[in-house]
Amino acid sequence: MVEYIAHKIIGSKHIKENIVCQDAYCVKKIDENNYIFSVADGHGSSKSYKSHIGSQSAVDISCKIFSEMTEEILLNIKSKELLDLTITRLFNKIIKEWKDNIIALENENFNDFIAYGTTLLNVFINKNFVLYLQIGDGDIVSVKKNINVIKRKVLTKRTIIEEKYFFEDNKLIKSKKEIRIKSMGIVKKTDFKNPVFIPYQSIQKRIDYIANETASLCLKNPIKYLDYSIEFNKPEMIIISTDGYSNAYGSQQKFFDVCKDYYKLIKEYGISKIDTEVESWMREASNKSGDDITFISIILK
Amino acid sequence: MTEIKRPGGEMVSRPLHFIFLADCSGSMSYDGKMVALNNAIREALPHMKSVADENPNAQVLVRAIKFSNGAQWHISQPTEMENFNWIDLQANGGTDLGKAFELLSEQLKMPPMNDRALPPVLVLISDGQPTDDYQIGLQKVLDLPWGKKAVRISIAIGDDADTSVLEKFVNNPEIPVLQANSPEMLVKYIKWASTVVLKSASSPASQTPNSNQTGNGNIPMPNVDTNNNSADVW
Repeated sequence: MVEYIAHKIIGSKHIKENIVCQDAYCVKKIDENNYIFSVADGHGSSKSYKSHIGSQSAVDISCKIFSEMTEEILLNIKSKELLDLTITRLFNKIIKEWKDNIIALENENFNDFIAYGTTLLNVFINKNFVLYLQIGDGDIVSVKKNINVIKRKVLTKRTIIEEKYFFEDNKLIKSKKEIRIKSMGIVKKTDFKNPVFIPYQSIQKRIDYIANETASLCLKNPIKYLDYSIEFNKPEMIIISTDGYSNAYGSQQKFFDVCKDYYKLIKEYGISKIDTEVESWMREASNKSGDDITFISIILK
Repeated sequence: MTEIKRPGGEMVSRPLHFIFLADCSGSMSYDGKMVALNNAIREALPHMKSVADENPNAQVLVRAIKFSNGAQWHISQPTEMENFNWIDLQANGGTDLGKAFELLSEQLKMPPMNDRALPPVLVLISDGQPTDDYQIGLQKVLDLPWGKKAVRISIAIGDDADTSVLEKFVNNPEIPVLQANSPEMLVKYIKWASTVVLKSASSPASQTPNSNQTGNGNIPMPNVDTNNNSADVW
């Protein structure tokens, strides 16, 4: 049902400063029809001095809880109200077990959860849908095939109007232009269909994530910061990445171009070949951002 | 074997804007204060360049605002460290700090700020009291997302500086106003702001909402020898 690449590297700045990698990931095949991919980015600041443990704990617990709640998710997926309740329950279970795990490592009075602070990105893939959950920074980008339609209308013997329909930022765009024909001839109205692959953010980022600020599992009421979405029309590819990768590019659109290129390269060279190249590309990106990078690319069949 | 081209286009470091806000009022011409400030900034530059080189993930871009009667950009173009040269400030006029804040706030909006930038470092240096209504301009800065996220440092030159105003600019109980009562202290604090603070702001470490952290966490404060008052000249 899926093929995937998953890699994690320690950031160039962390190597220099002798800081351990703060990122973590976990992939679990629950059964033939269900997978869970989980990625977390520990904060890595002096106040979050154990966030590498926090991130690993978050992804391990996510994979476990999603496995346990697969049946309930499948049961409630078509009802927004019931799914909201299920997601709330699922996320609260993750938080509780994450905190219980920390208390077990520390002591029963421990409450300085910021020491273990981390983001969390989860992608649950079923044969019929994809469920995305995110708290904190990082990217979940999907690549979908869309139809690029060109219609030509004859205006006069010398002029035709070309109308183009395509998807951009998940919106249908229509553009129109007039073309003068240099030689006489009959121009028939023609429809052209060329597949175009469009990358888009599966979850819209909150606008207040700037200057390294992020929501976190360690916050007082983390469910306030949880975003989730579902797709029944599954994409061709999903990329999950911690922000160390996209921070090496000047804009979100430029990171979308990276994702689109990954899709083309996997299609051209095969996933196994790209798997051998990815870490060197991640290293280049980390030399720019300084940060740890976790990168997962999932091809949905 | 054909090499596969890396996906995506050009990679770039994250911009880190470093802005001096310098008091150029008439009182700065007394007791060598303006000479000391110009010297302190010039002395700090090689150290700043070293920090920038050691943190290639940050593209450090430096500018300066001067304020006396009104406020103007002294160096308006965000300039990379390798190309940055200090132009001496001159002192004359009042202390229109509010107008300096208004000028600053225009540059902290999005655009021109990019959402990928690192927290800006803003260093306010003053020896006196504002002669305009600074509160409106200050509130504009602090209301902006990038104004809030910036690391704001204040250096008071001499005992006549209104430290309550400078504290309002910093707006962070973990970062005190630095009191420079001698040229040596001024050099020390400018160097600290342009190295230790810069290094901290360059860090990719994350912070949770409403925390006063910057970069890697608490910024280590410069050492102050409180017993040696004989060196005080201002």
